[in-house]
Amino acid sequence: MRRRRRQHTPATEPDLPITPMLDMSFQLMAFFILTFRPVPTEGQLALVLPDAGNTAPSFASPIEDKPEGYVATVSPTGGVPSDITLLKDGELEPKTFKMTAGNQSQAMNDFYKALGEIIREKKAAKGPLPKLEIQFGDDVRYQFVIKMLDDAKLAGFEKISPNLLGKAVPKKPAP
Amino acid sequence: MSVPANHDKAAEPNLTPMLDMVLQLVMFFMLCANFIAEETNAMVKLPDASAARILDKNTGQTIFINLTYPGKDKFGVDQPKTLTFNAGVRKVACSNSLQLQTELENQYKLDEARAQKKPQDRAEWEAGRGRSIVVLRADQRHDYKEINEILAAARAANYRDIQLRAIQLKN
Repeated sequence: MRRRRRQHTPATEPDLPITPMLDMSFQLMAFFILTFRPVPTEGQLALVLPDAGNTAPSFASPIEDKPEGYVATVSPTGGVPSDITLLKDGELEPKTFKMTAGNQSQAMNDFYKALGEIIREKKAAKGPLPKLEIQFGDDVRYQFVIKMLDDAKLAGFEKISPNLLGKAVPKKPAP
Repeated sequence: MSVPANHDKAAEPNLTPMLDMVLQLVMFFMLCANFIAEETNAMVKLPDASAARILDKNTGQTIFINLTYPGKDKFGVDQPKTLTFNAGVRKVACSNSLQLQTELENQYKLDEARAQKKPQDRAEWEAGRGRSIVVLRADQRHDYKEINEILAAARAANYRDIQLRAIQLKN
């Protein structure tokens, strides 16, 4: 049997044009580099809202020691906090941190230090951590509200309630 | 002087490693491109806080409340103040805090109904847990009075634990 002679064709080199792909890739890369903006991480400050009425306070459970309470007030002056006061439950005279145009950050620092001192004392005495209610004037800017809540958290307070100044929840009358 | 025989051969740069690198970079930027999540609002300029902690992903249903500040957006178009309620598929633009309170009350009823389905969820509910988490994303330029209206609405709808969202500052 005669073998058919295979027809010999010249081998062709496969040619993949990568230039358009490279162009496209560079364009995509340029687009993503130019539009890349790392989004800042968002976090939360966890708070406990004060009671709406004469209901049982949520802070303390009946089996644990009732924690001490502190009330801070922040009075407004055109959006910026002015005087800050800090009053412990049962005391009559609040500690005042006077705020003037020049010493704004100083007063806030002093307030932060005072909060830290309270927590340090409580931790040393191994007592329950106190709760803190901060009452803000109605025109205090939210930026400062968060700053003060942040300071209170950093100082070590865990149960913090924001409230409107002058809208304090009326306490239950003693039986 | 002798010249190598391959002197006339055209020099061909090896593009393959560069192409690999470029494609990897493209992939990196594509994956890192952050598209705005639907439950949040890019118009809200959040305040900064060092003590802010990232929300645990296993905390169940989350209600996002966005409060924007009126002003011009980045294209110079006037934008009004908006108050939106987002809870999963429920997204409502509220005209005021009363409407927000109604939405929160409805959500509370949904939470309660969901908790009644299983005995263990019911026990959690009775113990004061199992509620949706309310996350407030409010613009830092607002006065506290407006924030307090939202907090009062949440409180009236029986939500006591609230989370104020802020940009996390690195310590």
